[in-house]
Amino acid sequence: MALIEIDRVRREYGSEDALVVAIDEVSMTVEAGEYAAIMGPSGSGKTTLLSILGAMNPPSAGTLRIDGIDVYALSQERQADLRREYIGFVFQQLELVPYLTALENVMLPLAILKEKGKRERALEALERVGLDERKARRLPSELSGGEQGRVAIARAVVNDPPIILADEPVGSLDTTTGRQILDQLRRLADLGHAVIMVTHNPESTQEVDRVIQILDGRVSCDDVPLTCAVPA
Amino acid sequence: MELRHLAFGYLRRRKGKAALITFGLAVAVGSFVLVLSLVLALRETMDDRLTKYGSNLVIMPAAAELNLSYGGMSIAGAGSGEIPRLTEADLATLQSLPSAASVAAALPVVLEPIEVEGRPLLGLGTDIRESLLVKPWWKVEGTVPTRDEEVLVGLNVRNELGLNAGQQITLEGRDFTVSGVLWETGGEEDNLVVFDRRVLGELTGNTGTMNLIEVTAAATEMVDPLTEEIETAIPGAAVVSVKQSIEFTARANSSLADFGLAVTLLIVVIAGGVVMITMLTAVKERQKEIGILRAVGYKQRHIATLVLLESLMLSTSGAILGALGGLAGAAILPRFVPGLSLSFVVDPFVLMAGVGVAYLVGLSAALYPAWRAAQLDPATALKYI
Repeated sequence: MALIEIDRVRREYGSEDALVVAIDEVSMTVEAGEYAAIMGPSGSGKTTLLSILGAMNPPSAGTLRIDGIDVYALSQERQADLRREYIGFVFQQLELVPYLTALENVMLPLAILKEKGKRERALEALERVGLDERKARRLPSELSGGEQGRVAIARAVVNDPPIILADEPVGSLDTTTGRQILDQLRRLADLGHAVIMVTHNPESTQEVDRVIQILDGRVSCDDVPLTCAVPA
Repeated sequence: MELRHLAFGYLRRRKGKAALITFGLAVAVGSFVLVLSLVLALRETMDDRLTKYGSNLVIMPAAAELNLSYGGMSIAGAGSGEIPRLTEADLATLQSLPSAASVAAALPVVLEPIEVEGRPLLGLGTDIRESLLVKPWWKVEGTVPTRDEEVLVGLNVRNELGLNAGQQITLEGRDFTVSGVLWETGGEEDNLVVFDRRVLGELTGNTGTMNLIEVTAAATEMVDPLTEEIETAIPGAAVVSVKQSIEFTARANSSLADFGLAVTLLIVVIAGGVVMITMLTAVKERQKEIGILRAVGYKQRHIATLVLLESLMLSTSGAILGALGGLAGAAILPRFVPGLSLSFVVDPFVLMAGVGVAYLVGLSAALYPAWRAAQLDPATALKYI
């Protein structure tokens, strides 16, 4: 059983007169330890697909199964639990909370849990991405772009989720910093996480195992990076 | 980290919004505490006067310019040109009334503005010994005057002029000795210099006349019959039942209090509106932040709790500031109202109620914004749709 299974998922918006089909009959599976990139031009549906994978956007048709669980058959409350247990997000532009320190940003997913040792877990997550306690006490504005990216990744992995979803994680970063982030994502896949990254930049796909190309809401190619032609 | 840390962190970041909401709540609480404290102080003063005022009738000239306040009533004072006064003949008339036996005491009172050491004060001329019998709250520190050259002073006069028993004052070139100081009454007596009536009349050139006569009826049920007889026997006089006068003032004060409370209620409602609108704006601004929280597993109730926690914190600061502001207002405001002599009342119930108002308004106003925030689905909030 694959960790992620999408079966004939379709997502429509709007009324009958002005129907927009963002995702059209997409099916695929992703295994644990796999590093995949979803690519496509602007408006192709890749972000919509990511939001469906993230248990945030119920499809108009089709199913999403994570670890065998039919995600959109769950209640909203249970979907929230599933997101917390199974999915870590790295958002576009990182979206760190500006008034929280790096440590507090990483602890954000833990704030709703009644557990001890939350601070230690967060520090460990930061350490794994190469940030020490001194940097952990700083606000995001006091960190470099690369360090902010690492905080975002630490926040995504603090609950040790099996799935990491990254939405254009290096879009706003310089090449060197972006490379560091991509290396972190590769490392996570090597550790057994299923990592799915949305990107429009072919250069970001150098380390991925697989490229899923989306065009007009449909999968036009799903293969190793060199095989899938990459339109700009 | 807990949700409360997240809430506090947001408020620390958005100081302007936090200050606006706190200010709105503080104004609501402050108005509530101020009005309620003043109402209680007014009631206490009225009750005090009702129970303490010895005389239950006051006879004064009917048509007179009223420019002095004494015992909660406005009466004619000197220095306002030709003013009618009562005479010794009017005083004698009381003794020939059919119900004269019902008159337990009749105290003629002269009130004259005087100047002592450059300070304008009020001189009261009366039968001092009889006054001490009729007014049980007149307690003297020192001795009761036994000679014409001896006077009593009220506590405020003592404090302002630094006078104590045994010290001298000069009035119209005549020396007087302060034989005693009246204990604090909380009323006009604190601002008086008390003379023998004849002596004050001589000093001011108004011998044989008086501003009013304080009458004590032997029984409360004789007040109305005596009033009728006096008004018939002394045509130029107006007879005021002191209790009626004070009760009338109490009713007027009660209407004023009702108005004050109505205005306070309006302020509270407006404050609630300001809080709600400000928090709704904040929810809209934090759409993406809420989307992130939902994406990492926060449920709707967590989001609602976050908003309510922020409101709780702001309600606490609003309650403290408002309660302090309201109390300060209740202490300071009466000093700026001429003739208003109120005790400063700190009632724990009023403070608790004020704090209750802060939390009630703050949390009620936050309910809808909390609900709106909780309804944001993550995909929309993150603009994935």
